[in-house]
Amino acid sequence: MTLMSFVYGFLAILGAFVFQTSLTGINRKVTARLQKRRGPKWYQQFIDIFKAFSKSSITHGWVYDFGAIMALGGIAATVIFIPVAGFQSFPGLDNIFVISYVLAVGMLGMAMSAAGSGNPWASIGVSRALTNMLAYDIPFMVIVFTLIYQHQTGSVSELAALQQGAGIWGWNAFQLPLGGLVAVIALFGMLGKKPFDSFIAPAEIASGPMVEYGGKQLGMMFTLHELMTFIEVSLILNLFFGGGETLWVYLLKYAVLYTFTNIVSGVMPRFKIDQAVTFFYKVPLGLALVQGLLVIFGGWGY
Amino acid sequence: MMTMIILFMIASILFAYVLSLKEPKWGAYATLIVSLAGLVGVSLLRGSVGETVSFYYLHFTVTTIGWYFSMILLTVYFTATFFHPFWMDQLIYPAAYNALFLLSLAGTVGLFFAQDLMTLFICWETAVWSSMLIVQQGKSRQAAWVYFVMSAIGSMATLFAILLTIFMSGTTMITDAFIYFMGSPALGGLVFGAFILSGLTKMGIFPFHVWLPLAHGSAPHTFSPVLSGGLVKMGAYIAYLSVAVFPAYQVFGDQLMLQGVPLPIYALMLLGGVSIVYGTLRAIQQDDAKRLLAYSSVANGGYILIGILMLDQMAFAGGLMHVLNHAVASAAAFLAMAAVAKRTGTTKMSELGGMIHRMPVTYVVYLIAIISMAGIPPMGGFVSKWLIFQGLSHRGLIFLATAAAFGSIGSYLYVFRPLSAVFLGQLAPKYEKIKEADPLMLIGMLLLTAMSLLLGIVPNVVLRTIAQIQIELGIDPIMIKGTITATQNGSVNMLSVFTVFGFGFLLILILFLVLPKSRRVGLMDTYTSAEFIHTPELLHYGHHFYAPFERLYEKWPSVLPLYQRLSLKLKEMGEWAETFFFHAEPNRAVFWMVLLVILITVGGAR
Amino acid sequence: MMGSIIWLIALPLLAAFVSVVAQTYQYGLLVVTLLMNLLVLFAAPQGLTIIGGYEPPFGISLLFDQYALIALLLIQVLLLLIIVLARPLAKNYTPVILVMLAGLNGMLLTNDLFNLFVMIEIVSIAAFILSTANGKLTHTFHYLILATVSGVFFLLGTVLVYAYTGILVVQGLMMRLASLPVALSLIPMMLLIFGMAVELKLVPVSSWAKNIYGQANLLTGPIFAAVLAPAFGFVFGRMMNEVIVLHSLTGYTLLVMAISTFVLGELAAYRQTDLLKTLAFSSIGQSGLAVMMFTLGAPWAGILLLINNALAKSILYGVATGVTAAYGNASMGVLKGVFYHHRLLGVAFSLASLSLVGIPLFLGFFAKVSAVMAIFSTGLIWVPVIILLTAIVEGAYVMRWLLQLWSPAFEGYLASKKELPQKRNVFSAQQILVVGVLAVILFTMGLMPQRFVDALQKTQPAMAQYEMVGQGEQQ
Repeated sequence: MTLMSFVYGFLAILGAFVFQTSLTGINRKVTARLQKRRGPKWYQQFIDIFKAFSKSSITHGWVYDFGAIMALGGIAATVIFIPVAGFQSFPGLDNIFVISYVLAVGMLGMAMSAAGSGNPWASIGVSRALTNMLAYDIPFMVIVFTLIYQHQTGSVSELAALQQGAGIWGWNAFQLPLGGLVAVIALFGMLGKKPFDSFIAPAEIASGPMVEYGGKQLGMMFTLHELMTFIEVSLILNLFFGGGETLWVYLLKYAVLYTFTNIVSGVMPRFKIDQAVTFFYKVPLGLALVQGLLVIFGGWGY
Repeated sequence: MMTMIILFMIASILFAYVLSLKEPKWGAYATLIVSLAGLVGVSLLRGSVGETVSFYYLHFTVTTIGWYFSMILLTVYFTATFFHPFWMDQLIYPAAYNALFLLSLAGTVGLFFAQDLMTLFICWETAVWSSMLIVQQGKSRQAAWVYFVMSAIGSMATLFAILLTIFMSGTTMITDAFIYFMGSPALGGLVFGAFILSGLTKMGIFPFHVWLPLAHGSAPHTFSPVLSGGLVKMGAYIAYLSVAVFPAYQVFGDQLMLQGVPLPIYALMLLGGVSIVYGTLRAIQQDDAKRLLAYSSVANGGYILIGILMLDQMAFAGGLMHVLNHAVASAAAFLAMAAVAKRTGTTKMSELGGMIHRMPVTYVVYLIAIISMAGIPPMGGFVSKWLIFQGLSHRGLIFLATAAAFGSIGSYLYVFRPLSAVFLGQLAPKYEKIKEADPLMLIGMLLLTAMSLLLGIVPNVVLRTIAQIQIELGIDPIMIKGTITATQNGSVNMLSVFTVFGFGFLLILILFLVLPKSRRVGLMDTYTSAEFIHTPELLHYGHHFYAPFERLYEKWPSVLPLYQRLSLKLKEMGEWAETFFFHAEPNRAVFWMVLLVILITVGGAR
Repeated sequence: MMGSIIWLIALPLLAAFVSVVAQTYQYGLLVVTLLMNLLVLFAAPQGLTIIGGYEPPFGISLLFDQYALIALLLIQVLLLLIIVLARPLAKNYTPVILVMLAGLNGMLLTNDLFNLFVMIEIVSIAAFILSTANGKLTHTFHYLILATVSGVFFLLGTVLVYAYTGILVVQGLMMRLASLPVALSLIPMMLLIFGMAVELKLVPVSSWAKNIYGQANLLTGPIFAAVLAPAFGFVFGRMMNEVIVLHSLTGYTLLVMAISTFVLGELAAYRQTDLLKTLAFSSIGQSGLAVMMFTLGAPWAGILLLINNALAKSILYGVATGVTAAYGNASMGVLKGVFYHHRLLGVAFSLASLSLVGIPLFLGFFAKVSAVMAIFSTGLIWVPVIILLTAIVEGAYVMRWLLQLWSPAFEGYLASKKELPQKRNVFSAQQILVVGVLAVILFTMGLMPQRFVDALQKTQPAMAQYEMVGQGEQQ
């Protein structure tokens, strides 16, 4: 742990933010094309965020601000843990459980801040977001357990490196096809993409957790969303699609994966939250367990 | 040293009782001082492992594991005593409360240091009945009764196992007696199953959990933390004894092995898994914050049981560490709720809200506690859950891992519920005037908060002791290098995690401060979709927080009715016996007597 | 002069005659007699005392050994404390109590089977008269019928024993009986067992106890549960040791009767909502447990159970009948929270009930443990399972009562919201002192169990030739 680690960490956060925000902008255009619109400029997302940062804002008490800081701080810290193309600012901190639980700090901060605003819509949104998390995370975790059992390591970078060198067929998504499928479905849940976006539900509960935000807090929430997307996509990329041998390969794969989710999302309807839970516990959890049993008792993947 | 501690405990029980008769508050302060003295005294025993002491017919010995458990219990008891002076007026029998409090403390400490099986059982039962009599001073007699009966089911099974062990092996020493069953697997299986039952009931493992929400929910507010953080952990010690001291893996050596775990032990682990899922689901449903925390204890009991039963490098260490982490976190959460209840008179979440604006420190205590309880870094709970996860995935126990994952994510749901409904949201006008908890209470709570944090940042302080326990048991110890905690399939450096987390937080804090300052507005000043609402209570989302999710399983049967039905059946049998054999008319009895004599005469003559 | 054990019978009889004449000093006479009896107990040498100079088997002889000493000591002490506790009631029944005392002492000392029958009848008659103090003559009548029928059985059994063996000396009778053919000794054995079964409250002939115990007052409750019950228990223990030969048929019948008494009694107690009825069924159940111990050849465990039960029940009945008399009713609703007003009584009651259930730190626990350990050595592993399962039920109802009696608070609310029963006067200071003394005795015995159990194991009578159930028949 040297000073350079912190500098690299800072750069990682910045790079992730810039890259993902651009990608979001591009994807807004992609979505628009799907819907036969022209769509905004590719840097529209930056404009939105910086505009929010510059505006005057209100606060509902210290926990409202503290929660927002804790959320974004936690997520920013998580970005530092993510290995990108084998590179880590702080080597040895990329245990899969550490990442997924540090991520929870950010989520908890956001939920706290939203509930602290005193707006019941926000609380409803939080309740749905947490329920959604309970739905998608279990199948995903089962697959993660399977991976750790198979490779006897919990390090994300090691798991990514193990898939490299054998071409596309070395990827876990193809080695363990059921697991790969589950992971991709879970990714939709993580990102809050349709059909699992009911916690935002703009028309029904007025944007969910975000309803009370404005000004710099809203800007922070936008930033948080971008960074969170980066973490989640990277996680799936590293675990199931071989990460990246070089930075460019990594970013390319990343862009493809993200755009894929976005395109699929563009043509999907929306689950009610309890439907989402039922779906995740019926299909992906079942698939994940089958995959796990095949690996553990059937010796698949050895 | 040990003799002194025992004598001191006995003397202090009488002293606290007499003092409380004079003035309950003095007795309350006496419990504080006595438990502190106990804590200091026991911590000094660390160096004298192996020392034995006989006291009358009780025999004690200092062991590393006993020391570890005693320290946990004493910490919980000690911090709870900070609340005592403020609660004496709420009790019917304050003197009895203080005396029984210390008696149960003595019982638990005695349990952990017990050298022979009789001492073990005597201390166990002493702790049970004394705590039962404390629970009855809370809100419900029924709860205390259910607590006792469920404990009795476990205790009697354990008593059976203990007596059978003593009879078969001819010795009462715990370590020597259990070795006997290496040679007789069938009997060993019976003893194992009966012995661990009291641990299961105490930890609230699935079919035996019914007492836990009742007792924790309605015990005096000052005692719920001790119940959940302390007494439940006695069950963990029994589980430890039955798998680590009792040669369970050898006795079941010829059973069907599932990923290296014998089937009977695996079945118990599955019960632990069911407890995790069940406790989580039920906790999500609760409206009473204390009941919610009680169900979370059920879930966490499942983790501890699974961890300890694994008896390996990772999950075992995780299970033992989780005993500490959950004790600290759960006690802090219960104490925070007690502080709220002291000020508002209720623990129902739907009746509270916005407490953060009046009791910010209590809020912080609760926040840290639930972060630890949910297993989120950088608090202690994360490390132990991480170790259990690593252990489970190392062995490939996929169903248990699924349950563990469910409990872990599910805990976000239920721990957030009191946070949101009690502390956040709208502040009801009737609570406008309330004040922060008393400083003495805050000291007690903040001690636990500091411990949670410390356990998360430098877990190796505790893991060193656990590694020593593992070495004594002859299994691979958990690897510790500086601040790095390493296992066979992964490592983590919690200090670095904390530093990076702090770094991220600092960056964003700077960003936040640099950006334009926000204007403070009232809580009612929110976006309401063009409705005009002027009643804060109506704008507080506290009822059925997870309604869509709860609806998925609201019709699932509960376990308590099964026990109630059993009780009813017993009463029916009693009624049957009463009318059939104990009927007032003497002619029936004479008939029976003559009939039996004739039958036997005829039968014997044949 | 005081050195002869015969005074234990003679003194009470003498006092009984005097008390009829000197009615003013009746009560004093009773107390003095009991105190003198205690002196005699400590002064008299152990051994056989032969009355009239005839050697056994022809003369009447008294056997005073360690076993008898424990039984007699327990009974004198408890009776003394009980008559002090129930002084106003005891005054009216002094002659009866004195005759009963003579009968009890004789019953425990006699070495002659026919004498034993006579003594049992004396005690029974005294007990009938005492039970009229409950004011329910029908119940007394039912009790009378049952006890008389069983008395006939006992007499028949005695006659048959005499016909087959030619002797009636208790000591060593078992040897003679064991040498008889099974078909011959079976019937007298069965008759003797049933002759005692009524007083031992064994299922299916224990129905009288429900009402006699369940309607008891301050005098009859403690005397029946804490004096008569252990006395008959001790006599049964002696019989099992010296006289009764168990064949597999009688053995199993007796075992089944004992177990079902224990289980059904506790189950019936579990459903009661009346404190005295609960205690009545608990007494039935406990008696079954003690009989089980004697049957399985573990007399010291049986003795321990009897002592624990006697001490505990004296306190429980004393307090329960006291509060029932003061508050008018023994139902759960009426007595809720009464110990709030009577804390010392409450503490004594709690100690006694914890000991009764067999909770550690109290005597009952060690009694239960030695019972279970003794059964293990007979190889019957399923009997302890039944005992411990039933112990759960027992603990459940005792604790329910404890919680009810202690807590005046509303269910679901904190203790500060409570509905106190109106305070009534239960006991005088003197009576409370007696209850306290009983509680202290019980508690102290629980503190030094090891010494106590050791002493008891020594009292195991020398004849230890049991034919254990489950180990097949001898010969």
